[in-house]
Amino acid sequence: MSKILELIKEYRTISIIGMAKNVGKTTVLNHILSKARGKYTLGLTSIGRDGEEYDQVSFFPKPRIYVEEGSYIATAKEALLNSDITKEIIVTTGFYTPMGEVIIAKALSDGYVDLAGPSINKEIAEVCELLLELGSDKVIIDGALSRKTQASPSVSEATILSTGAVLSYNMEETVKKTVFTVKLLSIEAEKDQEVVKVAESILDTARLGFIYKSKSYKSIRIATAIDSSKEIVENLKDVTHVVIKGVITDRLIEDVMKSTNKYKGVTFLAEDATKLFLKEETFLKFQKSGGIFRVLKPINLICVMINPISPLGYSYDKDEFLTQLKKEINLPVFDVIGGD
Amino acid sequence: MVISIKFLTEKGREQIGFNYVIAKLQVITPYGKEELKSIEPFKREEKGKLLKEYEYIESMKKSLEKDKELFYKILKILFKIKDIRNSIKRCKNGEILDEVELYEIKLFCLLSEELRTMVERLKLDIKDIKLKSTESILDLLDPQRKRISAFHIYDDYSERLKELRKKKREIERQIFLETQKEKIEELKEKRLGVVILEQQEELEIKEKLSKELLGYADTLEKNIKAIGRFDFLMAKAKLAAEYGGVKPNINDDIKIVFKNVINPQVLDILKSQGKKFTPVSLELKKGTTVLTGANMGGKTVTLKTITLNLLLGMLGFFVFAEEASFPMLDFVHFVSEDLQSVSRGLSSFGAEVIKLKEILEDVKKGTGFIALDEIARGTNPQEGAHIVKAISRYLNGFSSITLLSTHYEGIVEEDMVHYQVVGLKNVNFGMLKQKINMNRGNSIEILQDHMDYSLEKVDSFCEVPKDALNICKILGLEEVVELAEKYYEKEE
Repeated sequence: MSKILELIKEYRTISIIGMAKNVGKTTVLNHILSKARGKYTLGLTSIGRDGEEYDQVSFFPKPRIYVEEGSYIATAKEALLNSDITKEIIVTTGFYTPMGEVIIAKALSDGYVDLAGPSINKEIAEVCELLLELGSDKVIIDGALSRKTQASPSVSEATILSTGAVLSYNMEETVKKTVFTVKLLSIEAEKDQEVVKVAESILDTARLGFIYKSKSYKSIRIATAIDSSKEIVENLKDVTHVVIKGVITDRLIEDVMKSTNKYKGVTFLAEDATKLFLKEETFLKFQKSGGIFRVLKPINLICVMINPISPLGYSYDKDEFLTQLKKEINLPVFDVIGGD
Repeated sequence: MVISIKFLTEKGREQIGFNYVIAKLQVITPYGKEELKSIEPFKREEKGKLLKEYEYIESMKKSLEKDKELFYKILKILFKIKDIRNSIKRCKNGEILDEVELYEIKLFCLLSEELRTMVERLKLDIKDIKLKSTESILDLLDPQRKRISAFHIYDDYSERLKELRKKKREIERQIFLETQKEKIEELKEKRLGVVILEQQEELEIKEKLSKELLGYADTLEKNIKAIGRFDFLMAKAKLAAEYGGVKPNINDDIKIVFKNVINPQVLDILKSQGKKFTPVSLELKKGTTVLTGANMGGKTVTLKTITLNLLLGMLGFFVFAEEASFPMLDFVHFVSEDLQSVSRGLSSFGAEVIKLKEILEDVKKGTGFIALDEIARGTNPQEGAHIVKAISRYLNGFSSITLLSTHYEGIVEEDMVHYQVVGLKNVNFGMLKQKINMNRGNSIEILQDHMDYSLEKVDSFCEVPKDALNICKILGLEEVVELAEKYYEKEE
């Protein structure tokens, strides 16, 4: 069995996220699809829609996803009608995207599909369930690592990170960025289940909240948590956890650190690791000064897939790239194209 | 919902609890929702239609009790029904339906067939809910006669399509086996050529199917209507079962009779506080009926309850009573200041006057019902009393039914009916006072518990009860009450 199949063997839902556009995420996806051919019936969907047919920055035609006959796909109506498989409409989901309702179809032939799934966690989870019920052995989710969607790879049982030369002309830079992303995505989940419960109930109604030792809590209703440093600083007294909905930015963390040192020993809880949009510097500074990051929903990162070739016309030494990453990352690292 | 303002304003409907009742309706399908959206009061000349509607609800209600299990199954189907109206519209415009639309029509027909057999088993004598067979449409969209909802452009539709797909599959097999990159690209190019032909052929088939479906648009639309009607009637019947609704009698006299009528909204609010709603019974005849009674005695609730049930009745719903009878009504009006606007003083009085003018126009043209809740209460008592007296006497001369609540003395005339809230009339004041003295904190609540909210018909000259003085006494304002009683003596 191929390495990748071995890795995903025990999971029912697997998401693939890319560090940036053109990083080779679709290549990774196609690699898995080709390896699974004849072995697994796959279900496919995506978190929202990842860009256009042509990348708007580089104007490179994006590789398309090629599926095997018998696969199930969940995608928006418009995207489905763009797909060139012979398609059987199985069921409509009642979930709507800007490209129409999400439809579940079966591929009656091999062919290219265009994926545009729901962008809400709950809907993705339901779509995955449906795909499994219909007979998919595994569901692959074309994920996103962006601020644009509310949904996150944490809905899947396992996540694959895709990185590549497109990130920077300088390989060391790319390695550094990748290593840090892996570190961020691997942030531990909050273990105290009581805290998790309280945090979830805070997030049901508010975007910011504070949990005290006694597990009593305070919710703050604000339009967005991005600019909430003032509220955080004002409320830090005797707090054990700060619960933040949505994105956590450098500015927020820096503003908090500038105004108080009461954050020391306090856990900042994010919904999941993709909500942390932090520079390595900020992240380290915060942790060194005694701040703690935890997430409510962990991401189970199982491997990193690399693409040493940039569509911008340069490439790295494949072996060197692999070696450097392997040295720093405590996870399997593969080269999709090179086959190791 | 666009109901004429001759049947209350949007605000009035909210006040009497109509919106609450509508929100309680469990309409499931988009077609049932459409039925609900287009409700209108039945017109005088539509009496037969209204009676028919009541009969339908009646048989639906009986059937719901009898065939519980079957209804449960029907419910499950109704939840699956989707809106295909836009596809039918597109089909009628000569547009080509896509695969998803064809799937949805197929699914609709399958569900429609399931419903048809179940509804037939109910043996309801309701013409509107008869579903037409969609077998011919299914034959079109399910050429392999598998009768499952999945749909694709089947090979059965065209020999050419079948050939093209075979060719495509063969190239795909070659792509899979090929290891050389350039060869794969070459094969994919070849495949693309076939895909284009396949899609052209599919388009032609979709066009043909769309044209054929046009011939069945009428069947589909009839079934949509039937499903909508079934859904809506079922919702009405369920609502009636939930709150004890009854089929009203439409009389040809000008009289309104309610026996133990309730208001679901007020009932539910009281229930949540652990209290009971006292049903209202009364008989109103042509002209003015005056309703007097204590503060806190529920006069406003009575007016709301009567108005709500008449409005529902005219819209083709059962009414929430043990018995009900009313004539066809050309209008239903309800004039009541809500507490928030009391402070607006003259402006709210001004609004009342404008509304009254509208009502005076309506009574000249038809027969309707008018509920006036302590109008002119914001003006000075002397002027107010004169105005109310004049209005009640004036309206007494028309062939409409007016129910007017007031605090003012001397409004009722000999030829008017007079109802009074029983209130604290039969209460042993000594005992009540003792109870309240022992539990000062809950005095208002104890008072409410002893209040008799039922109505009694009294002599037209029966005085407005002096419950206000009694309430003052019980709550401990003895010194003031003594003085007030002296004023009474002087007046007499």
